[in-house]
Amino acid sequence: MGADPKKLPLWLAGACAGAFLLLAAVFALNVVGDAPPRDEIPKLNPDYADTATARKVRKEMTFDGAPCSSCHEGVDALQGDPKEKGVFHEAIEIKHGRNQHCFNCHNRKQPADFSDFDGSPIKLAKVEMLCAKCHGTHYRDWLSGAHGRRSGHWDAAKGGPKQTVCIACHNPHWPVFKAMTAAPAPHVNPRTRKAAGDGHGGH
Amino acid sequence: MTNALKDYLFFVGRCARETIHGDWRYFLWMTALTAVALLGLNAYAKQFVIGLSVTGMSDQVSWGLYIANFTFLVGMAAAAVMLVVPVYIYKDETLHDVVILGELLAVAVIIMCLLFVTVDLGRPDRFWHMIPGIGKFNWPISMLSWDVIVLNVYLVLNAHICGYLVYMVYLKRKPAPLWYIPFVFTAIVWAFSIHTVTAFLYVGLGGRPYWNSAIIAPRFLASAFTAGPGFLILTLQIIRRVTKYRIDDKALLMLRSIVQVSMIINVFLLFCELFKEFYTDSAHVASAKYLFFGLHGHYGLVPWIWTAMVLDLVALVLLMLPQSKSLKYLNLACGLAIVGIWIEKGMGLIIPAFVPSPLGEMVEYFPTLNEWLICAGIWAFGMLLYTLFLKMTIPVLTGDLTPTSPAPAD
Amino acid sequence: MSEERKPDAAGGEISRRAFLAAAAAAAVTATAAALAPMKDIADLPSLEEFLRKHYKELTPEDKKAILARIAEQVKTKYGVTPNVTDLPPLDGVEFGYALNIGRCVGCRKCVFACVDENNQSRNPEIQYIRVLEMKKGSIDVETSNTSYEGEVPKKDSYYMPVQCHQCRKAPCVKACPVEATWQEPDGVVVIDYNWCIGCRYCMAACPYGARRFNFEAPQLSAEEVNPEMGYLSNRPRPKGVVEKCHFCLHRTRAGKYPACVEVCPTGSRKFGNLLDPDSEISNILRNKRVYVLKEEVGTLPRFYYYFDI
Repeated sequence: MGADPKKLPLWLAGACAGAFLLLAAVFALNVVGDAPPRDEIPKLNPDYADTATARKVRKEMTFDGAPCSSCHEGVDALQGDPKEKGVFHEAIEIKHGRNQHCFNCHNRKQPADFSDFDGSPIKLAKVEMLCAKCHGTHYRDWLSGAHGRRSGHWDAAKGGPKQTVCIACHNPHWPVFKAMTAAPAPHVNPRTRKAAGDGHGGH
Repeated sequence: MTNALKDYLFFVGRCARETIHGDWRYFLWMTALTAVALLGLNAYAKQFVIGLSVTGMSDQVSWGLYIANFTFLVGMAAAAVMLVVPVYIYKDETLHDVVILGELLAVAVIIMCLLFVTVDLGRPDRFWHMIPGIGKFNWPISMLSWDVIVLNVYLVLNAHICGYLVYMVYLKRKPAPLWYIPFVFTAIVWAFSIHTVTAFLYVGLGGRPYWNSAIIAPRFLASAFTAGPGFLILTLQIIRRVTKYRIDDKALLMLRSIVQVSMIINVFLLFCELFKEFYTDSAHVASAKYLFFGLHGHYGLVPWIWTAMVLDLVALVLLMLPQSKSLKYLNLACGLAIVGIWIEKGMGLIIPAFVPSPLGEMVEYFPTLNEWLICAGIWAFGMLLYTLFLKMTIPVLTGDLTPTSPAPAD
Repeated sequence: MSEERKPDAAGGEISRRAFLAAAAAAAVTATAAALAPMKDIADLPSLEEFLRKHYKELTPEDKKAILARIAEQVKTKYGVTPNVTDLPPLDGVEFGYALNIGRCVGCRKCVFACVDENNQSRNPEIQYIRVLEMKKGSIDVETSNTSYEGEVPKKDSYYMPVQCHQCRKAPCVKACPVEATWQEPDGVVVIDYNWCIGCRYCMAACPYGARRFNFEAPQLSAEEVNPEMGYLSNRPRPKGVVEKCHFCLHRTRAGKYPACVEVCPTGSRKFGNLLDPDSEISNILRNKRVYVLKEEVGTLPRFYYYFDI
């Protein structure tokens, strides 16, 4: 090889050593650059992880904070449509399917209680018995755990589950869930998304 | 025994000394390869520090360019066997002189494969968890554990065959059949196994309909036996131009017929797969649709795969024509076939299986510059290794390096 | 090689040895420069972590020492004293999960309660639960949208949250080359975060897209840390390993409900012991219309979808 195998052209040494030194400079100056930075992802809103039920359940029947007895006293059964009677209850919007009559649920004689089929009172503490009047299958499912939220312990030995009562989630006057705002959508790898020019996974 | 080992190591040392001798072309070539390899090393250093987030991969597309290259290269490694089969099974001596060169390529390529897997690992520091005995090797359940075994054994088999045969040439001794024939035949079966096992890696996943197809393994083999010998056709011509090693045109033409047949089978199997996907047109066609026509406004792989299709078809036509008996056309055909298969079997096989994701998410994958650099680095390193292997063995094969030949002048 | 050697235009020759020395020196310089980013590495494993054995091979003493060490690391990093436990599976318990597909409204509160409970990385973002907004009339996930925003539920859609299904025939467990993921006696598929090599084969194997990879070291701030931690569940994970839903093992093995069950505003999420015929989950499987996602893949999930009758 070559005229003189002991010798190599000088330019070769320059080229090879120069290439490596140039490369060292490329690395030192990080000419290639780093990967694009991550997206800013806002901090979690603690509400997203809040385990509170959709509604608050009161311990006592009140209206605007006042007990029922402050207006309804005496033993005479209430008559007629309460909405036509005064300035208080008309604000309540009833969208409970075909059940549009107050005294289907509320007790005429004891306004702080609810009413069973025969007019006997159902206490607020046992409100599920009121709903069970019509929603038997849901009551059955609620008892077995297939319907409604449970918290606490799945393990009976550790104390068992805490059931949540119907009205902790459903507004009795408007039981269907109202629309809610979804928590934010997932973020995908920004490198993938930037190149794709597309906002999100999914389509 | 120790003496024999000492002699052998002395021989390896002498061969190794050959690598620091060469003309300006050799050193320029080595410098270029080293430079690209270093670019890759630098990119990998960044990935090692930051994490795989410097790649374009995501939870949806969890494998990318690394595994695509790995898959392609397993095929290249397996293809060395296509030179061995005619020589040792059919006693056809046409390819006898190039068998060693093919097996050296296999060794270099398997090392590249292992590197591609390594750079894909999230915890390369825990590689020892895979070593049987001290780690916990999920064999025979995990297909990946099979792959680790077959690749490493294939590496050792080929390294042994090359080392032994070249050593015998050096000593001018006739190789003892016991020391290589069993290994050669094992290696033949093994070459099929590395490719089949790698295919099974994908085929075995029921949750990815794009891969869950029995035809994948035969497709793998067919494309491997196209790309591998095709690569050798090109390499051998370079070798005979820059070294004194004589390689007959006959050998190249024999490789041509291998490439020709493999390419026909490859394209046919591809056609079968496409027919099944698109004619059935079931929900499982989504990945193939994404690959070929785009899906839900995402077209990332469409230009790639159609490039591959055109390259494959042109290569096929060229190989069928008698014109490709002239090296000029043959080289063109091989070049086109290699690039075509690299796309089709790399990106084209790996990425669509992830798009759409099992949950229907459309997250595309685009390799980052850092990823490309790491891949280029590994390719350069592999070529560097192959050049070194050739540099070490060719003087022995040409008879320039013998136990009695003088040490090269300094 | 010998034939056409260029006459030196620039003139000058150099001895081969000198050339090799110069080229090698320059190459070493370039290599050192190439490796320079390594000096910024912040999360090299300690020797103990590097050599730590597989979870199943740890003795009780090993575990005690490791839990104490994790507690110490959390204290140093986040300034919070955690309660790191490794609760054993309960006898006679096999966990099962059911989700009422007719009730879910797609609010994604489960996603964030899970992140909050399980110390997932906030950025890059890791979430175990994906909520699919499905077109009514289809159970093909390809019709789904995971990036919906705003008011839910939308009229023409129903919602199908997906998380790890804890399959009885788990493809991920089969895939793992190092047994870093396995099924516990109570049916939960867990991951040893100190054994996973990060090859992501399990992610390719999972038909439910349930597995997540730590592409970077997880980021969460001190005030976001949940100090109730389990070794196989929500302790801080290192970079480069896979994680996923584990049914909140640190809670459920103590008899509690998973975080996603407790947060669901519509009570769509149900959890319990499959082996107890009186549990709510057994009741649902017995009495409701139940299906599993991608039944055709044959993974036999312990995660069921149901609707009311």
